[in-house]
Amino acid sequence: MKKKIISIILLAVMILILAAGCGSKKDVSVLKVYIPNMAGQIQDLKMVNDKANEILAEKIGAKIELIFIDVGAYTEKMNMKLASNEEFDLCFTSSWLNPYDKAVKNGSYYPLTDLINENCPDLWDTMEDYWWEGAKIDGELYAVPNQQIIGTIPAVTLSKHWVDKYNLDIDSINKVEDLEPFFATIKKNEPDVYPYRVQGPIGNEYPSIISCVSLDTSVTDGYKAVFAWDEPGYEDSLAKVRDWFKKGYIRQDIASCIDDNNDFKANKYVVTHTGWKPGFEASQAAQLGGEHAVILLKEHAEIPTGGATGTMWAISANTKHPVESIKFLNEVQTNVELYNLLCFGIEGEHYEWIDEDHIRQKTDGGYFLNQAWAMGNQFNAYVLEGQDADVWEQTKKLNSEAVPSRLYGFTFDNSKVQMELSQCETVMSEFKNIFNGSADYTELLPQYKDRMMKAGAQNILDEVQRQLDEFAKSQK
Amino acid sequence: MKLKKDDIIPVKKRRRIGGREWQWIQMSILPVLHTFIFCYCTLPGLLIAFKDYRYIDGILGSKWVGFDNFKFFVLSNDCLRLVRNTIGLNGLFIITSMIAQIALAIIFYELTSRKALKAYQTILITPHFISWVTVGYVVYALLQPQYGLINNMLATFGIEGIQFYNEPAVWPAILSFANIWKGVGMGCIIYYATLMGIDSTLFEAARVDGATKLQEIRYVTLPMLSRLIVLQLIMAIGGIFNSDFGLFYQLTRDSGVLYETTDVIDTYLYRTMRVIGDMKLSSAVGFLKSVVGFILVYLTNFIVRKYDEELSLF
Amino acid sequence: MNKKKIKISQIVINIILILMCITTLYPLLLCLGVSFSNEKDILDYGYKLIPKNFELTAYKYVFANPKSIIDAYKVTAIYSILGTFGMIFCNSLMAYPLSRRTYRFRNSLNFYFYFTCLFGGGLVPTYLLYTRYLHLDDTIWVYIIPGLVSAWNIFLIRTSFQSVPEEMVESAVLDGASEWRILLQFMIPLSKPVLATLALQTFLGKWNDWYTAMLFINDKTELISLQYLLQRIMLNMKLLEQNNTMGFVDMTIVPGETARMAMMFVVTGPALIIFPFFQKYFVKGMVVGSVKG
Repeated sequence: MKKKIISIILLAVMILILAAGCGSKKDVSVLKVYIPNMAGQIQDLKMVNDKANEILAEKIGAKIELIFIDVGAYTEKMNMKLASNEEFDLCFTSSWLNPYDKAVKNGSYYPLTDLINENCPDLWDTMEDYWWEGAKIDGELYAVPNQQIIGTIPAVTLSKHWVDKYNLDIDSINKVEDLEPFFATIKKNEPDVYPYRVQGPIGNEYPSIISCVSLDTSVTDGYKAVFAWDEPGYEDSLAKVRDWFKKGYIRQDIASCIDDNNDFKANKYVVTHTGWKPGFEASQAAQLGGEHAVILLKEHAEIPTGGATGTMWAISANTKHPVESIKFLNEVQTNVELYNLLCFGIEGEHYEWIDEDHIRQKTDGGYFLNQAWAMGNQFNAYVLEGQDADVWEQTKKLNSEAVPSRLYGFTFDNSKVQMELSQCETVMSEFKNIFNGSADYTELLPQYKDRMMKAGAQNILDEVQRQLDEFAKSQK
Repeated sequence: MKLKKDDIIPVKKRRRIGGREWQWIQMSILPVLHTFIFCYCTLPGLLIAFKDYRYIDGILGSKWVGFDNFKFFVLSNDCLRLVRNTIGLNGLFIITSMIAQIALAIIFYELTSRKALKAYQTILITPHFISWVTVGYVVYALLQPQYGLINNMLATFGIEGIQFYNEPAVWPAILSFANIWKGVGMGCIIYYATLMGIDSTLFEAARVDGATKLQEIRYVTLPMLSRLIVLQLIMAIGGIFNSDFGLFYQLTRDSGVLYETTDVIDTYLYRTMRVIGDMKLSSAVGFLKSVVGFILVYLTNFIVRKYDEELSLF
Repeated sequence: MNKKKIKISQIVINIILILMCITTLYPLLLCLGVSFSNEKDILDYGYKLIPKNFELTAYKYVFANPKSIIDAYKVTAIYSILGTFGMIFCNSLMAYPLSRRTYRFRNSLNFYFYFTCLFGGGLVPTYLLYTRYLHLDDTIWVYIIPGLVSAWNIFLIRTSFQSVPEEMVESAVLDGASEWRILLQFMIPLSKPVLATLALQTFLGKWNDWYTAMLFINDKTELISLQYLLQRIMLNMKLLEQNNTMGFVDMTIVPGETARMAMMFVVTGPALIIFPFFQKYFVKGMVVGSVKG
């Protein structure tokens, strides 16, 4: 029986090897470009594609073929295309959609530093250094970031309706805790809503690195990793959530709630956390209806560790046209006409100018994408009807004032502690009720720590520390 | 009734391939080739489990790492609990849903009104189409601690409500029930169709002999179904490590408190992949599931073979 | 005496079945109610059997682009039917020799097929095979060809063939019938109930398939299956919702629960209508004895 299996497997292997030897070859200088699609059917894609080729003809000497893939399928489909080493040229990549670091680890993207130096060195100057630094992995660049908002300002938001009804003095509020009396009022008078939406820990000071390990920000010389539960104020924050849960500020069925997006859309939450950016109030009003008040919790935006990797373009390692591809990326980032063509389509056909600064898109036209953030340098984008004319100036200002996370540019390589990470993940899920207030932490916290240590938390901490030390060295 | 149907072909001739056997071989060619191309040609994918798989190097070109990819699961503290839950729950599902399906098939068979039968069958297959997400909502509406239907009913009788989502012990029963509810209508049809194929004179003969209904089921119906039951059982055992993810995830609402009785390999893997996201690890676990499933099937088949060669799978 | 007994048992059986139907129908009607509701009411008041405000918004939304829906119905119907017939034919072809004890390759072939139930290479080699070597992507064949042979179904059909009385095969052989004729004229017609069951399951499986379309249909949007055409909007929204903390994705109007339920009925409605077609093969009460004569 054993022999049978082995011979079957061997035969299959041989056939694959043979087949792999004679892969088909194509030689057309058309760049295949994969883009996530949030719009559904795009009728006039060919029209826009042809127009883009007209613009590109003189610039890069190659044509492009835009291929839109449903955003919901994008990660999975690109994963298959990368894994099967399909020959294509460019694709959208990011930390959250078609994960960038995973693809780089798999060797799927083309290294860009030399390519840019040789073909379009000016591209370096279009962005501040932190964009490039943030997109690098182990010192090499594998994708060109699409410059736009780098981070948001942590904030809480609530409907103006509540503010007016209970005369809340917005200006006196600096942190979530200041809202406690307001929560009590809501709880007493408004039985149909939940005063506060729990989205992650309240009042933790240290940024989390991975699992239960955080960065001790009080140590400024080098980096020091600590367990989350060793942070100052850790128990206080648990006590606070517990207290709020008991007082009814937090929904009582939180333990068995997996997806509360519908409640959020139904305005069931009074106070929710959010990240503020210019134009936030308008989009919030469009989504939830009514005016909204925003309380900024910090003065400046924070650039998260992976801040620059939110939306980027990468060149496939299997491309036959690396030079044309980078030239195309250069165009997307610098050529205002091309970029806006890709974002909004053709003037008169898909959008029109309503005044000097603003365009109006035809929502029922054949090219209505609403995804300028995925296409290139957003600061080159035409300003849409309803946006402030200086929205990009505001954004640039926010960016320039933003405070980078101390770990900016650091990516944790989990390959040495995979078992510990999966064990800890299970323990954390088992004890998640002490973090949302629905279970009494005083009894469970020692058990939790104990289980976490048994699950190998110490190994994770040590590994993080080791990589942080290396990171510190590489920065000097 | 012992079946020995093929005895008509003389044993002597087996040495040479006779005309009838040639025809059988002709019939086999297409399916065998198809399976070779679509299943066996993908088997090199199993190697991912033993490699430090990088896309750019391909499956064959990646570095061998032996059993490294298995470590994170096999050496894990949670491994034993996961295996116990997976086998326990899926074993429970196999048995309960099989009993329910056979029982329903027999009930359908006994039903005299054809019109009613058609109506019942049509209605009972509909849960097959309802996604686990939706079932999850309905179950939540029933079990929700404060406003749930069941706790409200208990309250009217003055009984204290049950905190279902904090009570691991009740979940094997809830999950089995939901599993039966969703699958019984569809699953019973194959048993019912097999019953339809049975020579009805057998039942008449039993009735003439004065057998009660239960005796009829015990001595006529079940033996006629035995071949199908054993086949279904063997196939199910092979897949015992594969859990219906939606059932476990949506119904328990991924409530950590319930893991003691509801965490199975597939939900664990899902959580792990969320933080680690590494294809070679899930390949390793998949390989392990297949191998152990294979061994289990082999043993079951061996036992069945001892008991009755005709019933065995291979 | 017997008659009365039977009547009581019939009543008991009917009561059991009616109770089961109620537990089934209630959630189904709940979903139907949701699909005709106002989205906001669902968010505010939860699932209700009878909609607070009766609305067709969700269905209008689903049918917003009637041409692509009709295309999808066509494609889905074509490949589901072809795939189902093909599956029945190919698997019967294999099941018949396997049901004959004197077939010398019987045991090794049983093993050969069973092996594929447990071991598969996974998604990457499969994707590679379909796209690079067989070029099935962006064709309707990708829905049909890979599913033609299934070990599961081979074994189920084999079991059914095995229970065909041996005397019939014997007499056919004596009449000089070829093995092909025995398969086509005796085995397949006599196993109709089981074949119809498997056909039904295969048909529904194909009808509800969205994964194949998601992975293998790129440019040819007219080949998208019905389920994926509707699912993809949901998938897109879910992904964007999960990531709307990123700050740069502007959320637009999201079709929610009502649309999801409406889609369920739009997709499964026709599949349910087709059920009686299959049903007639196993409800009629094919009795082997009666065919014999």
